Amino acid sequence: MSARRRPAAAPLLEARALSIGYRAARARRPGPGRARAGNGAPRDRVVAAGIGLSLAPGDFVCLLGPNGAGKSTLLRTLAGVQPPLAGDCELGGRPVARLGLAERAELVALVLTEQPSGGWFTVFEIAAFGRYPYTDARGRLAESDREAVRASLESVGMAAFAARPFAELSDGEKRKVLVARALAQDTPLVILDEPTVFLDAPSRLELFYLCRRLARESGKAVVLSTHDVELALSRADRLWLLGPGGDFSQGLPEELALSGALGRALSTAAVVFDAESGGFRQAEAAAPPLLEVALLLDGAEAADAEAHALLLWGRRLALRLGFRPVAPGFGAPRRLLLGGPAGAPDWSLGPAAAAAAEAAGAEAAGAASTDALRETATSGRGVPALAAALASLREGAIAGAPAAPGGGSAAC
Amino acid sequence: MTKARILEPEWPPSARSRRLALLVATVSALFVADLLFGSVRVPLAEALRVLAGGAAESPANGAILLRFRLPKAIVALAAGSALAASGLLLQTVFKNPLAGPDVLGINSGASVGVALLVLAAGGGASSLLGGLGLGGYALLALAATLGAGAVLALVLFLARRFEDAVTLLILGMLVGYVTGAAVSLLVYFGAPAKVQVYLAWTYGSFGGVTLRQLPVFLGALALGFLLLTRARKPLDALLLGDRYAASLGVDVKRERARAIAAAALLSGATTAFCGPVAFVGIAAPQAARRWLRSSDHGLLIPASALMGAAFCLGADLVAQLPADGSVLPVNPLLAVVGAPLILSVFVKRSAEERA
Repeated sequence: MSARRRPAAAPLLEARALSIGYRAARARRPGPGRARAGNGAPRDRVVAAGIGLSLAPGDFVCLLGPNGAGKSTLLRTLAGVQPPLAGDCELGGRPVARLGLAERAELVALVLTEQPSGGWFTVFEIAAFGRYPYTDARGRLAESDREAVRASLESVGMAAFAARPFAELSDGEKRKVLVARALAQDTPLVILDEPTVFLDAPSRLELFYLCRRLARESGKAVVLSTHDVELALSRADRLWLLGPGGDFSQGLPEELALSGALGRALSTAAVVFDAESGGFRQAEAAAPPLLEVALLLDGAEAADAEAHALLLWGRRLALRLGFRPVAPGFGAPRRLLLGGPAGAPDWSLGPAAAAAAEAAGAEAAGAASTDALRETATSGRGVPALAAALASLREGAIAGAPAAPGGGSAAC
Repeated sequence: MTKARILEPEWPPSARSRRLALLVATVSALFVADLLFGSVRVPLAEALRVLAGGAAESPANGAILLRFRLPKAIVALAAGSALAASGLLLQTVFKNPLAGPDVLGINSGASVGVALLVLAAGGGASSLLGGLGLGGYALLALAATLGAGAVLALVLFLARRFEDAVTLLILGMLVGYVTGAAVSLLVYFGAPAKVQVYLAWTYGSFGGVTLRQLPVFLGALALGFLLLTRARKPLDALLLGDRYAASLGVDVKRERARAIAAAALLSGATTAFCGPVAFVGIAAPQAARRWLRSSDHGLLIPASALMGAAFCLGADLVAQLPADGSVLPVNPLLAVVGAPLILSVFVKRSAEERA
């Protein structure tokens, strides 16, 4: 994945000190018609202020933020369908507010959260609305327009539905058609407001790949808002974060995860974003204390890809059961050895495994005792056996060591 | 990705044009039938000869055809087209299948104008209206136009101020309530003879427009339709929702104001000349959409107009049915046909949605 960022390229979209939100109702203003500058400002509902961002051709950016943070408002403001309260927003080097409607339609394509009913329009006709800025006064499609509509329907996998009435589609299918409509508009900037809502998991991933391909291959700038944090973290080139208080930050996904910005923007009182696991978990206050556990691979199988899958799912299981999987070298007091006969990877817990664990543990720094494992070791195979072992580990720890959430983790 | 074949539309253009042609044929047949039938039956051959400019066998038949039936049929055709087109526009603008010329209060405005003229005016005017002569109808039309125009101006003013289509819908209803109250007060205090004249107007009739007034009526409608010549594309886009339309480059407020102006002109002029003709405005666009299975305004504007014309010509034909030569009022007839039609549309739709 060669980074094809072109830092030299002029930004397609640039916002400085942008303030977004909703103007106070006009009827309350002193005069009819135009607003007097400043006078009515305190009544405006500011969703977020001081936003500075830029977007270059070829960027694929995901916008993350909790419900109600103002993601849709930001996207609509950037697209020019909603006026900013203050600040500049430039598209293609010109203020968005001063672009003509027709000019703007050739620069930005939108997918909104609202879902039109579609009347009697077919899927093709809905997607063909993307060609609106390019057709004549009667809206007739040239053959090139039809080709563009067909290609965009194909790229979202909806070509087979072209003749179906839009209203008959499922919500997810409608979403895809609306994305196709935006693609058919053939603009340098594509803004998608929660396009993955209603989509099944593969379709969501397909959409992310489609966006990334559009950015890479067609040099479009794509902005996508979503609640799919893990997808955004793993697939976006960059993230925009809009926190609950309207705090805006941007950067590489990993950068924002490590700096804690992601946690600040997305955590709530009950659920926090955990930079260690890259996912959400219950907040400390609400969750039972976490026990640290090290999961090790049997040496013989450590090189096996399947064994690594074992390790991954073993860690996920431990995480789900309220453990904190840590690296073996960090002095974890509790260890479980994963492994099995070659060719039949499976969980295997028992004296033999424990002996191997002891050997591995001896090499590891901070060599904690394997007593815990010995005590709780049960013979067994398969995921249910591992789950049972973890459960008994937890019981033993709670009964034996009341002080100890993460007690042995001094090396961390 | 998937290499799926793009299917031919299940509804090829040929199927649509066949249905459109059938609609044109129906309207033509109803138009001719409207000329032939009535208290006096005119033979088809004679009617055609007279229309071609020849002399009628009986001068009476010639006079009936040219002075009375031809204008009446033309008015029914034009009024139906205008009301249906107006209803289509309002349904699109308000994204509400139940919207129609009535909802903006335009009909009620015209009613107030007429009620004021008939019920509250001094003796001179009422004696003029006593026999409902030519001058009387002209005055009625003028009053209705002024009333409809006043409401139109108010609605347009509000349409520019308010973003939200539902707000406008509610405002239209409120205007309707206020004018309705004004009318019922006028009726309450009016002299019985005058109330009779007013009520006759509210029944609706296509026979009140004389040959001399016809150009005025048709001119007003032509102006309304002229406003729509470049509207089909933005109207289609408005069906996606205002924000999508705006993102495609549609000046939503301007297009909405234009559609409302056209709708008000079309239905206002019709109400002025024919009385408050109900149901056509709501039912005809529904029927046209269903008949052609389309939401394309390029197709629906003419198709709704044809459908509305068919409704009005049909109603006028049925109105002539009583053997004793009396004429039924048009409005109740249309309600009797129109209400079940609207109901069937919605029952069918909700059944489909459940399936």
